[in-house]
Amino acid sequence: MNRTNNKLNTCLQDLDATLGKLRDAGQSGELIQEALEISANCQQMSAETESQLADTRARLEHFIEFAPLSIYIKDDQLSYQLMNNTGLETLGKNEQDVIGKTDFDLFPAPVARRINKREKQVLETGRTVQFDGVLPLDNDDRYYFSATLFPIDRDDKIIGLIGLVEDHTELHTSERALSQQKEELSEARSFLRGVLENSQDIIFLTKPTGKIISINNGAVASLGYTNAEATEKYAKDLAVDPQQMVDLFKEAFSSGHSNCFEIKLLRRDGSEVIGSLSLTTITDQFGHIVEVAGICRDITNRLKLQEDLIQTERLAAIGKMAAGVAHEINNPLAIIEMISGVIDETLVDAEIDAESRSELREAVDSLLLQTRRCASITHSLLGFSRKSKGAKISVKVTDILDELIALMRPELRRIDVTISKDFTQDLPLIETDITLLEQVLVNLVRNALDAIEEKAPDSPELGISAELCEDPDEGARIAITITDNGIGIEEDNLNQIFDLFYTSKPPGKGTGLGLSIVHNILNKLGGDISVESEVGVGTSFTLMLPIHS
Amino acid sequence: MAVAKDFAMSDNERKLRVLIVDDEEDLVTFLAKRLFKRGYHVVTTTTGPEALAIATRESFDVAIVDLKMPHMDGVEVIEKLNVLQPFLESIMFTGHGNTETALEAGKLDVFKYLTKPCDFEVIIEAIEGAGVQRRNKLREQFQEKLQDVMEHASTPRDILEASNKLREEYEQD
Repeated sequence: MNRTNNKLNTCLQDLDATLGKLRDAGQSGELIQEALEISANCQQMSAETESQLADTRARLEHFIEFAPLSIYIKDDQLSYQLMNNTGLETLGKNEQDVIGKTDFDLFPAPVARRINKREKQVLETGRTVQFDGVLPLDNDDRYYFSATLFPIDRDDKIIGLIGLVEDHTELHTSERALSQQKEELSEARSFLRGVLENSQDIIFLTKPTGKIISINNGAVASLGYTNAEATEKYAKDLAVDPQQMVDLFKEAFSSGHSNCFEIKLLRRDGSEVIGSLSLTTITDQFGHIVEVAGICRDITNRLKLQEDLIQTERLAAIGKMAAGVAHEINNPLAIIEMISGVIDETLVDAEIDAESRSELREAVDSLLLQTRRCASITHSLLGFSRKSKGAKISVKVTDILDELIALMRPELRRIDVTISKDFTQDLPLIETDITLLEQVLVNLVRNALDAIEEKAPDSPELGISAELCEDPDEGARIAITITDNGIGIEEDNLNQIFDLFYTSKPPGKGTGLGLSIVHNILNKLGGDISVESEVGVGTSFTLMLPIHS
Repeated sequence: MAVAKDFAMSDNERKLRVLIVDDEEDLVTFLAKRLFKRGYHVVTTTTGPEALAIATRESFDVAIVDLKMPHMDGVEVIEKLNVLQPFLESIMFTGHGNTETALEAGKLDVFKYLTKPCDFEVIIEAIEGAGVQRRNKLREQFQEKLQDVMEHASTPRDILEASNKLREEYEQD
């Protein structure tokens, strides 16, 4: 355009010069002709320039209208002079809504102020300003943008500005969505990790070779290995029978997974855990096996519980049988007793010498005594096999303890234990479920005997005491204490002994149920149990029983 | 075959009349022998139905009944004996100090239940106690009925006749 203008200027200067000469020389005809030519030239040039200008403007307008940018022009009062289609569409407005208005007419004041501040900066400094912002739209959406503001100057004076506004909304939302997804993913991952890590199940990950990559906390707790120790090992090293694990791996390789309901695993300390194991192969996108995951539930306790239930059922059956036998024996016992009595009475009138009489009498007394002994055994057996009806009756604790000692005499005699009874006389009766109380006492005495047997002291002693205990909080209670001089309990284990399945006895001997049952029963009876023990000296269990339930 | 054995002797004084029902024949025999020596009038049988048959012919103060017997158990025997002789006191003799049975016996109005084998003196005590209870109940009932007669009878003669009848019925002297 400049070039055209230059040409035009040159033409006009030429015209001026020609007209000057015309005036000076007074030669008009030639000169006028010349001037006309120049003028025609000028006109032609001017027409050329005009068409070029129109062309340029059209292109500019086209660009402004259809650029993917919002473009606006404001005057020095920051009123809109122009806004292109994209801008209007973005704002959802018509041209007449915008032209001549300021931002304060279009946007909420805080937003208008922010834009205003930037635009004033441009007007004042004459520099280009760039800034990012967000506009609230009429449809509650948000419009994120990046704006560039150019000053418009004329004659060294800034008369307005041009704003180019790029739409960053999509970029922004996709960025936000991405970061949200990332967050969710990491949350899900940490949740999963937490579940796996803290699962009670034994979970391990191995390479296809079986080399362990990592184990979870459940595995650490169950097997006793640290994660570092475990990663030194192969999965087969965890099994009591390594070949069994190898076979399971082979099966998993061929079908993707394998299961084993009962597999014996080795703890770090060499003891065994019985688990229910499943292996799953993990493949990459090409279908190659990259890892093997093993999940194993420790079913040792479940199996133990099953065994204990079977044992309990068996005991119940034996008890029932014993009761039946005891019942049948009572009849002949009654007859023996009766006949002894008859003999005794017959002796009174019998015509025999005094010595024979006293000998026979002694024999009959002994017969009666032994009969009574048998009766006490059968009665204990019947009493013991009696099922609890949940009925509470008033009983004398000392009677129950005496009955207990009679019942357990064979066991007590086996290890030749000296029993020392220390009963306070005339204790109040307690209201309780005898069957349950007996069960507790038998359990405690059996434990005491086991503890004594294990230590095998020179003089095995079992102390059983009963006394009245006044407690300001609990009121009057009866304390039954069973003391042994057996091996004692380690201090560390004292708080575990009432836990289900805790046992210090070798496998197969203790069920780990006894004391927890004792504890439960005492809860039921409204009583308490406490224990004192010293390793190598002995243990003493004290039951506190409420007098009224 | 179970045969009723009567150990009764001359009835000079008012002896307690005891019926023993137990399927253990030896037990029955020796228990009866000893009770007889102590001066009781004793009749024994080893089956429930026979005990009921005896009870229709003869009146007793106390019945000692075994719980577990074939054909008819002690509970049923006592129930039926009570129908035949309302003032008869029963002692349940059992080989098993079973709570359930004790409860059932409680419903049955049994004077006492004894667990086999049982000290002979305990049996004697139970029989005596049962005898006292029976007499007390008879007296109570007699007094009640007598009161009734006094209130409703019209002539002294009626009263005398009625009271004599009652005296006989309730074994009052």
